[in-house]
Amino acid sequence: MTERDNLLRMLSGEKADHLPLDVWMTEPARDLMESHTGSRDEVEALGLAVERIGPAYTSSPESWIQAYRGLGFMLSPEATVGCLGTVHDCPPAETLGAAYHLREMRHPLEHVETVSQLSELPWPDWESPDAYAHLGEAVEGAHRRGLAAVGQMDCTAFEMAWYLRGMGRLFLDLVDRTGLGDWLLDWFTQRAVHAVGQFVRSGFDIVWLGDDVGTQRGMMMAVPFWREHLKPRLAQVVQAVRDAETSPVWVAYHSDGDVREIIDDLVEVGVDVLNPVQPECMPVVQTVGDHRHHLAFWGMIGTQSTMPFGTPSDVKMAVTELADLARDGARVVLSPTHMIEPDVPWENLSTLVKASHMPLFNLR
Amino acid sequence: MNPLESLTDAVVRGDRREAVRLTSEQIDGGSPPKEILAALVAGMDTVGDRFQRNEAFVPEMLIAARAMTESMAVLEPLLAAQGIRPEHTAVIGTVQGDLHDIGKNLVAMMWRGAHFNVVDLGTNVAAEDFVNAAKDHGADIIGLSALLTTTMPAMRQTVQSIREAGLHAKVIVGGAPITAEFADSIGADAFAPDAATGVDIARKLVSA
Repeated sequence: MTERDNLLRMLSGEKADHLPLDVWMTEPARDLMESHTGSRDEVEALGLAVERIGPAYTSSPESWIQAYRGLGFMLSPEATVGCLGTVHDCPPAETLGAAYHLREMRHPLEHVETVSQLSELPWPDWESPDAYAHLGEAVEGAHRRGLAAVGQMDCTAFEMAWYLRGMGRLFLDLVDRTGLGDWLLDWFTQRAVHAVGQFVRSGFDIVWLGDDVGTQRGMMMAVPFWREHLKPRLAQVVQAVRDAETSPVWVAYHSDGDVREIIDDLVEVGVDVLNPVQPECMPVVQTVGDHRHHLAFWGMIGTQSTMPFGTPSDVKMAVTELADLARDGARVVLSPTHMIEPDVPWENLSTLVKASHMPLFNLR
Repeated sequence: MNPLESLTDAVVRGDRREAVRLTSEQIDGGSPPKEILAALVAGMDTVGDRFQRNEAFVPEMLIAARAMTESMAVLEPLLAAQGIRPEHTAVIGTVQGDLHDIGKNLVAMMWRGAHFNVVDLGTNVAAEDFVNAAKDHGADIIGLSALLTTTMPAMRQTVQSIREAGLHAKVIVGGAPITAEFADSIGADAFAPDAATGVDIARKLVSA
């Protein structure tokens, strides 16, 4: 049974051999992995179940820089511009130490005042076939390696709009109904609608959506606010998956923080899998118990607790708890709840990897 | 509802135009600036209470703070003329190695709403920069924020530097991975689980 077969069996509620594993690595964590395994490829070195693949938009950083200059937003010489206009500054490496991978996000559209200023920016053409030309081959490659293909469309709309506009400005746009926040949310939603259709037609197994709307102690915004501004847009994207699919494609949704208040809404719009279910703010056993009848769960190994601060036996215990849930019929994919940062001991990560590959019915 | 209560209510609702109108009306009517300020602060306190109970969220805090800020722009000259200044100064920042600012910004906003003088040092702030800023501004409170577990040691280091410098300022720590136990273990004076509680704790510490 390949890792893909095992994962798809788990998501379908059929008997899986072991808990499928997914791990997101930072570069410093990859350095550590390489020193222990000789490989920088976590899919191969850790035996992951998935390969993540996204669209390849084309846009010119110079066009963005010029456009931002026209808006009065100046970039530092160290800043980088993403194809969707996001801007990150690179602080001096000596101030970051082991966390050298971190970049500081800037909000280049913070002072934009009109919708026409937004529409005139050098946005990439999300309808261009070139952006998706590689997908079919990439999916076939993943499948040949026995991996499930995950179509990456995280930061689906809200987070991208927030990164560009700034969270405070975006919220005020939506409260004041300036049209600017809606324009950004709509642009990114339509981009996602188009992209997920391409994903499905390219043979992806899973479409990965997500926008952080939770905090450590509950929702970032009131549930009615989320229902008004974000839920309908998420529903459009999920519907695009359903419209395109000819065989079942799993829709996963990521939000950090405690999002228990909107789980039923997520299921209602068609989300199949919830990630990451942070144990530090969402009691795992209770959340899984409450929603296992209509949802699969992906994550649950705490990166604010067990992974950096626990012992290998704590990691094993957390995996065993999830194995118990899976043996009892819950659909569970094992994953640290966020990226592996440089403070995670290798022994904890290797314990997670070993435990995940133990036959489910032997893991007690 | 008397006019000052209406002003408080306008801040709570985030109705900035009404808040500014009522502030101007109160000034024109001869109300003591201190009472007008108290009405504005009461509005932010109400929003903070609701935030703690998960009845108000980030957007509600933002619009309330905006209503207060715009009203303060009208009120500030009178406060200054009467020598009414924030009684307490707070220095805040995200510790070295950490570039996250959302939580830190919310705390700064709520402290300003409680009429603290807030000096925001930004993100990736070295321990000595916290110490120097606290000295320069005569801080009563120092707020340290961290989102990443990797920067929790920097929080410990910063508290240690503050103690070694012999500053009288009280240290409040917060951020997603921070717990009360961790705050105790690094010698912080308090842990704030959210921005609104950060106001309650700061007030308690400066009045102790």
